[in-house]
Amino acid sequence: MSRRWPMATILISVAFIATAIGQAGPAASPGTLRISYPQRVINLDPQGTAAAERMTIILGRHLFDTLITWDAAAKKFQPALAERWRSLDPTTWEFQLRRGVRFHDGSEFTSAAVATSIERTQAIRGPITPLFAAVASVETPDPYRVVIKTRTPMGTLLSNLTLLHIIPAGTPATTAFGERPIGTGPFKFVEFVRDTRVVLDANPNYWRRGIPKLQRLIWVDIPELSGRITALETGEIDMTVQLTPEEIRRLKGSQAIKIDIGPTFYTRFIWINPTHKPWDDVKVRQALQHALNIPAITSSLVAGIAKPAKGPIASNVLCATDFEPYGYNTTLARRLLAEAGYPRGFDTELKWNDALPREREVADAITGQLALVGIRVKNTLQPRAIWLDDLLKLNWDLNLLGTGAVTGDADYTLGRLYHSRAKRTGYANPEVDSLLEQAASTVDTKKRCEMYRRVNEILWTEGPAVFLFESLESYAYRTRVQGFKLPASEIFDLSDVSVSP
Amino acid sequence: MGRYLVRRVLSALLVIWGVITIIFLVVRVVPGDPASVLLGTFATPELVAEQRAKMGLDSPLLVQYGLFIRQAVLGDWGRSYHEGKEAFSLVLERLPATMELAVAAIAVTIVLSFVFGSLAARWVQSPVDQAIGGLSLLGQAIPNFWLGLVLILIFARRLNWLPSFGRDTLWHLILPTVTLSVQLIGVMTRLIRAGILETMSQDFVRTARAKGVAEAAVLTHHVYRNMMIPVVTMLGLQLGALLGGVVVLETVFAWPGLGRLIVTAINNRDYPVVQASVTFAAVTVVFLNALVDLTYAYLDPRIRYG
Repeated sequence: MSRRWPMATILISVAFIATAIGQAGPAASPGTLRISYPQRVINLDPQGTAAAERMTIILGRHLFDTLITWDAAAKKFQPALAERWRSLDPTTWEFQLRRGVRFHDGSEFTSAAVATSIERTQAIRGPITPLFAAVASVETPDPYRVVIKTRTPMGTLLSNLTLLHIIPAGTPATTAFGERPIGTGPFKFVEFVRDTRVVLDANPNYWRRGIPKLQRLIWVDIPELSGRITALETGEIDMTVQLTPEEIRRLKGSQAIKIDIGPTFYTRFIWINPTHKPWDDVKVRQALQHALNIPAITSSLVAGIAKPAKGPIASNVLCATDFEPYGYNTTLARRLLAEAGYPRGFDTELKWNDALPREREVADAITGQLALVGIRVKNTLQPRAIWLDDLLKLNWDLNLLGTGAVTGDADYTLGRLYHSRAKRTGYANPEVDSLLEQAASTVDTKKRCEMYRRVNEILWTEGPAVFLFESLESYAYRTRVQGFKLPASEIFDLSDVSVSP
Repeated sequence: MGRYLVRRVLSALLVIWGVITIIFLVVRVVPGDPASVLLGTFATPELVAEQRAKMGLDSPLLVQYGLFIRQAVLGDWGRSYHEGKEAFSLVLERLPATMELAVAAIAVTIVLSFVFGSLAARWVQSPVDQAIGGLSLLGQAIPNFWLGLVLILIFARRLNWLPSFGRDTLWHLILPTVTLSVQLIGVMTRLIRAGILETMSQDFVRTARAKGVAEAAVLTHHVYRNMMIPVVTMLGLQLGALLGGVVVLETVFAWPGLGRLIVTAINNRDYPVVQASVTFAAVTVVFLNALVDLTYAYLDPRIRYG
């Protein structure tokens, strides 16, 4: 009998462990949504050095409010913390603020918070500082009225304000705020464990009635896409974004998972450096446009994650213009090259870094397609830090990259990147410069859009770039997630979403 | 012993100074500008220049180095450019996760490799020995990121027994630990088997047996103790390597360890974090080596430090 004891002990232990393991399986908690995201959260300071990072903005949408929001469907600004606004003169704007809104710490939202938010953005000297560089002063005549004065007329003020997350009055311009952010948003901050998770709880006193519908929102860091998909399939998370074309195809057959694909403000392109020969010749640049078969790439390599671009900025962005695509024509491309004096083609280099989905495959396809017309491309992948260094020093012939118009305004992309002052592409065109300057200081949106239309046209036809794709964003979620509405851009919002138990 | 310790501490300090000097220089020699990485493609050249000045990168290298050493001596490793937190506190934040995984993997390795090594040595040249030999070779040969993915596929995706990612409960520790220890067990089992076989043929083992000491006691009191020096050395080296972080596995299992912190910091040219974490890893290795050396004297009383 005694000999059997060890065996019995082992059996009991195994049974115990098996039961415990069974219980360790993921259990969906009621009211909690767990989402995994593709980028690392650096910090949560909406005005800090990570303020232009996509994850900081997305989390900011949940923690904070802005004065106004951009409604891409209705093509107009909507009130948020500001109920009304008007331009008193071309350099003066007045905002009437919503009353009775409280920050997560219980303090009241007043005009002083707006002044702090703008002044702090200016003081931090981070990536979104240039958006408010032209703001001369923020006056607070009473707790519910703000007057913003700009040095020059500022056509982009309203768009830029959609990126200004409002923080409590008196917040110092130090990094501590990013560790424990306080806003007026639908969710309040609970915890941020780097490279692990960000936990947010519902703000029960949110000023929009009935929002948020979730009790808790957990952002889980899983660096590998395959890991995110596994966790989604096992039910350890409820939602993830940015899938590959293969995963989209595979998951579309799943009963438990739903896939949505929506637009973004993001465009991907090849920049051409006209300060390097032979790219100074517009014919060579146009030859490049005809040599690329963009639909072939979007229907295979980036199917479901991008569609052919119709202009320099994505179609949902304010003042976007659609153009006829160039059309794939290698004969024409060769003829243009011959006319430019390169009948036998030439050698050039394409630099890129693999920050964007499928960038490697796209770079390979471009290299292959250009070889067909005699443009011999050295295909160079660079680590991000080195790539950025080269990019900013204009140390490249062709550069494969992308950018998002974060504020939803044409100026954010066009004014920032294509004015010769920006020194981003080496392209300089006095007409483009003057149109961009005029547009930025024009308050009338219709007039601004006319100017951007002309800029778009110049960039499209003789441009320092081949505009390849407009990115699409894919969202995969388990069927317990309900009420998810596709956003107009890659900045999504889960305050409207609920989960079934 | 006292003089030995003083000499040992001095040479350790020299090694650590060497490491931090090399890492200080290497991060600055490698192309890539921390300020432009920090501000990304959104910044203007003026903002980048301002940021460089704020980071102190506009002063001569020697001045930067002097400042860096002075601060380091005072225990100030600077603030992370990206995260905005003290670089050293970021390292400390990661320490529990890294230690947990390293200690678990080493513990599992010690237990299992002693069992397997002893079994193989006990029945040398038998099918048991051959099977263990084959498996430990396989364990050493399997790339651990691949093993990790396969284990996730089986135990998380198919069977739904274990969590597929993250660090939360004890269950989360199982798959990364198994993945990490398979390779180590492979190495250690072979080392232990060889050690036992070599020691078994020594005169003192024969004497012990002749005295009538039970076989188990022969193994624990005489054989193990006499073959421990290479084993402890190897374990010390492995533990040191694990405490520096295991990047690939941390990525596969979304484990928030030091490895990912270091790689992210290198990619972002976040000098303070690179410096703090590499120095930490160097200090750990130096400390563990010293500990291993001291263990020798305990294991083999003939070894005296003086």
